[in-house]
Amino acid sequence: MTGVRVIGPAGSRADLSAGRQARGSDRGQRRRRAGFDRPRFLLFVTAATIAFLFLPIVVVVFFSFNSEHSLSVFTGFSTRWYGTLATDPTIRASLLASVEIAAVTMAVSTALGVMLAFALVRARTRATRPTEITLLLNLVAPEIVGAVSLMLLFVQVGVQLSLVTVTLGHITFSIAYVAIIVRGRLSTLNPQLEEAAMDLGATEFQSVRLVALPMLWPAILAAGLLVFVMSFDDFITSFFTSGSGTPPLPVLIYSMIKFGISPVINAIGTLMMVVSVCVAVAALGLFSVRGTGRGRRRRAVAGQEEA
Amino acid sequence: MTDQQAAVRVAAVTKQFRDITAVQRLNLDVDRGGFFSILGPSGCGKTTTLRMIAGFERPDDGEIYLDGKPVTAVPPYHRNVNTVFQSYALFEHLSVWDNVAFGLRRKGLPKAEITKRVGEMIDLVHLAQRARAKPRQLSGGQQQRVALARALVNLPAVLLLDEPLGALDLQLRKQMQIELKHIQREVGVTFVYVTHDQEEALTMSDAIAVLNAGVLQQVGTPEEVYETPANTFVASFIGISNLLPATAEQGVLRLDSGLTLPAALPAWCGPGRAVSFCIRPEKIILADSLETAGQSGLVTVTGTIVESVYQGIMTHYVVELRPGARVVVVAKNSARAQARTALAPGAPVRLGWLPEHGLVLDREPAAAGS
Repeated sequence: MTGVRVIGPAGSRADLSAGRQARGSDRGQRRRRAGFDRPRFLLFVTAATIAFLFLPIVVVVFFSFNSEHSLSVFTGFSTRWYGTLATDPTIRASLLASVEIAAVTMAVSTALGVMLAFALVRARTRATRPTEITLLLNLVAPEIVGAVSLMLLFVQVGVQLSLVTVTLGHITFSIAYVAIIVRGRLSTLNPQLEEAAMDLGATEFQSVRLVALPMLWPAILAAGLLVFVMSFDDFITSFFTSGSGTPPLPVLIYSMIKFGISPVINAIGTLMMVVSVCVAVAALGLFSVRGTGRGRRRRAVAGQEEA
Repeated sequence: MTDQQAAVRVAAVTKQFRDITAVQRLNLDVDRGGFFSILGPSGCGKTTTLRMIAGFERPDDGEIYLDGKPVTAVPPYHRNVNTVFQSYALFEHLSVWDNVAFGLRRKGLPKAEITKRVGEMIDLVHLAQRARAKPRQLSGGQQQRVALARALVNLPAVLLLDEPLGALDLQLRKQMQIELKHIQREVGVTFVYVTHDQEEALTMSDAIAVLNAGVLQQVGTPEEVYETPANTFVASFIGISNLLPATAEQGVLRLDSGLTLPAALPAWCGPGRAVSFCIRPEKIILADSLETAGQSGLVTVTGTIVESVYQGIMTHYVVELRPGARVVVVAKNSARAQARTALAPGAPVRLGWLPEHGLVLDREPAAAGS
C-alpha cells in the first residue's frame, strides 16, 4: 500500500493505484480482468533508456549555467557563459553561418528533392530504378567518403573552399532525404487526382500546385525541417568542405575543444539543442494548426462567392 | 457544326502498352445527347478508350474527333470533355463546394456565375446540406455524386464515366442508375459510360458498343445487341444464351449432337462452315404452353428435363435434347401448379420456338477493323 502514495497522482497510473487501494487484497482478480500481467521490468528499462539518452544533455544544460569554470562542481547559477557567447564575435559569426547554411540547404534541397520525387513516382523510365538506388546509396554510404570526395572535387576544379562549398555539400546529401520522404507520400497519392485536375482545366503545373502539393504539404514540411536540423548540426561534410574562413558552428566547437573544454561549449550545445527542439515543435504546431486555419480561410472564400 | 456530326468519333484507333494491344483499330461514333455505353470484360480496352477520349492517353494510330474536330494532340485541359473517375479522385483538401467549383474557377468565370452554377449543380445531386463537408466525411454514394457534379458543372460536350458505380453496393447502384439516367436527360449532355456490367448497360444506354480484347464486337441499341448478337462472344457476354456447336448444311443446321434444325442461314455462312446455334432461354416455349398458346410455325424438338430450379417468378429448366446437347429454358410460373409438377426432372418434354429466334452465329469473335 505504500506504493500508492508514490505513483498515485501521476496520470494514467492513478486509476491503477485507485483500484489497488480499493481492492488491496484482491490484486490477483484485478490483474486477470486487465488481461495480462504488466511486466514491471519494462518500466525500469524505459526509465533507464530515457536516462541514458537525456542525462548527458541535462548535464550539459545544467553546467552551462555554472558560475565557475568547473565542469564537475556546480558552484552557483549564472548566465556568464551565455554572455561570453553573445559577445564572442567568432561564435556569433559561426552560429549565423550555420543558420544561413541550414536555411539555404533546406530551401534548395527541398525544391530539388520534391521535383526529383515527382520524377521518380510520376514519370517511370529506365532511369528511375538506377536513380533510386543512387539515392539509397547516398543514405547508407559513410558520410566521410562523400565529404572527402567533395573536398577533392572542389580542390581539383579549383573552387575556393568556403561556406558556399559547405552549403553545396549539405545540399548534395540532403536531396536524397527529401526525395525519399516525399516519394513515400507521393506514391500513395492517386495519380488520377492530377488527371482529374487536368480534366477540369488545370495545366500540368497547376495540377501539381493546386492538387498534389497541398496534399504533400506535411511530408514536404517534415522533410524540409529534417534537412534543416541535419545541416545545422552536420560536422563531417562541414569540416572537409569549409575553408579557412568562418567555420560552421560544429566545426568551431571541434576546434575549441582542441584548446581545452570551456563551459562556453555547454552554452553553445544548449543553444543548438534549443534551436533543434524549437524547429521540431514548430513543425508539430504547424501540422495541428494547418487543418483548421485553412478550413477557415476556405470557408471565407466560399462565403464571398455566395454573397 | 451540324447535328449530323457525332459528338465523339473514334477513327481506326490503336493503342499499345509494351507488347499488349489494348485497343485495335477501333471505330466508334457517339451520337449527340445520347447515353453511349462501352461494355466488355475487364482488360478489353474500354477504359483505355475512355482515357484516349479524355486525353490522358495518346493513340499510337488513328484519330479522335470531338464535335467533328480532331483532338488527338490536344491536352486534356483544352478538351471540352469531363471525366467521372472510377476512384472518384476527389480533392481531399477541398470541401464539396470547392471540388465542384474547381473547373469553373480554372476557366476564370465571374464569381457570381460560379456561385450560381455550383449551387444549382449541388442541388441537382442532392448535396446542398453537405456543401461544406470534406469528401472524407461523405458516404460512398455521396462521394460518387460529388464526382458527378464536379464534372457536370462544366457542361462538357461529352461526359466520360469510368465504371462510376463499381464501388457501390447493389441497392445503391440500382438507385444511382436511375438517378444518372435522370440527370443525363435533365442536362442533355452526351454520356460515354464504361462498364463491365451488362445489365447496367442494357438498362441505361441508348447505344452499346461491345468490346473484347481491344476489338469492337458489335454496336447497337440494347435491344439489338441482346436480340441479334453479332457473334458467340456477344451472345454469351450479354444475358444467358444457349450456344450449341453446329455445322451449316443446305438450308438446315446439323448440331454436333446429331440433331437437325431448320434455320435461316446468313449470307456469310456457306455449307460446311462450323457455327454456333444460339437461342435465348426465354424464347423457348415448353410443351404445355406450346399447345395452349396454339402457335403455328414453331420449330419443335423433344427432350428430357434434367433439372428444374424454381425462382418465384420464373423457373429455370435444363433440358437435354440429345446426349451432350443441353439447353436452359426459362418459363414464367403462370401455368397451373399441376402443369408445373408434370415438368419434374426425368419427364419428357417438347420444346418449341419461333424460327427467327434461332440464330446462327460465327464462332470466332470479330477481327479488328471489320
